[in-house]
Amino acid sequence: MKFRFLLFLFFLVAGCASISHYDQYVYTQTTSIKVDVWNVMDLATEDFASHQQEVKQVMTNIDKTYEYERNRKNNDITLKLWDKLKDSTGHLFSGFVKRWKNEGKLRPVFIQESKKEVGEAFDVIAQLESKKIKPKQAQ
Amino acid sequence: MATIEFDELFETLKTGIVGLAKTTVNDYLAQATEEGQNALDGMKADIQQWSLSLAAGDMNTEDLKFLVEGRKEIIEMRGLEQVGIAEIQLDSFKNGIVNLIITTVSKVI
Repeated sequence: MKFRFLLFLFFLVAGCASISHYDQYVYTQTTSIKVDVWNVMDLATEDFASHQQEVKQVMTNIDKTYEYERNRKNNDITLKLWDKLKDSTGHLFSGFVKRWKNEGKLRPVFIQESKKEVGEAFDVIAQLESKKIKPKQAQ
Repeated sequence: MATIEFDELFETLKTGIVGLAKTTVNDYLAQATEEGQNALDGMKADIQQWSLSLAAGDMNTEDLKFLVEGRKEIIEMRGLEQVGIAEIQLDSFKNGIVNLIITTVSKVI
């Protein structure tokens, strides 16, 4: 009886992970896109119309990473974090781009402060990824 | 084949699991508390800085409103991060139990 319970306990806890494991590709992409995003945000002192191509490029890279994240198992929380960054009605990167597009140019002090927030948003995603269980540590 | 003393085995496992749970929860609480405190400190400094920039005319009220809303979204993201960390801790705890069972059973067989 106790042996069966032990086996049951073993398979119960060994059976499933609650959250995805660490992925080096995702970590690298997240930190790399953060730098690209910062570089694009610096351009917001100039007309949006002159920098549509750069904005499009970085948005495409975010979409590619998002698609990769979307297809990982048990990855709902990370996906929700990306959703915040990508939400154009919000006040992080996509919201910043929407405002830049609407207003043409943005003030330097505002850009610097918004960069800090957008950078922190990327840090949250990267930090959560770095805390995930490494594949070699998993059962 | 050696006879397995299940009562002894269970006691060993019980002690191990209690220790594992304590370590996992304590580590998580310490980390969550520190991160929460850092977030509050950071927000206070930001709002002070933005107020000064607004007074100096370097930002307008729309800028300020946008940044405050952004800060709110970061706090929501930090909350999600904590949920994620709790799930990671849960998985570590489960892995710990599996390792404990394997190690303990291996010793008595």
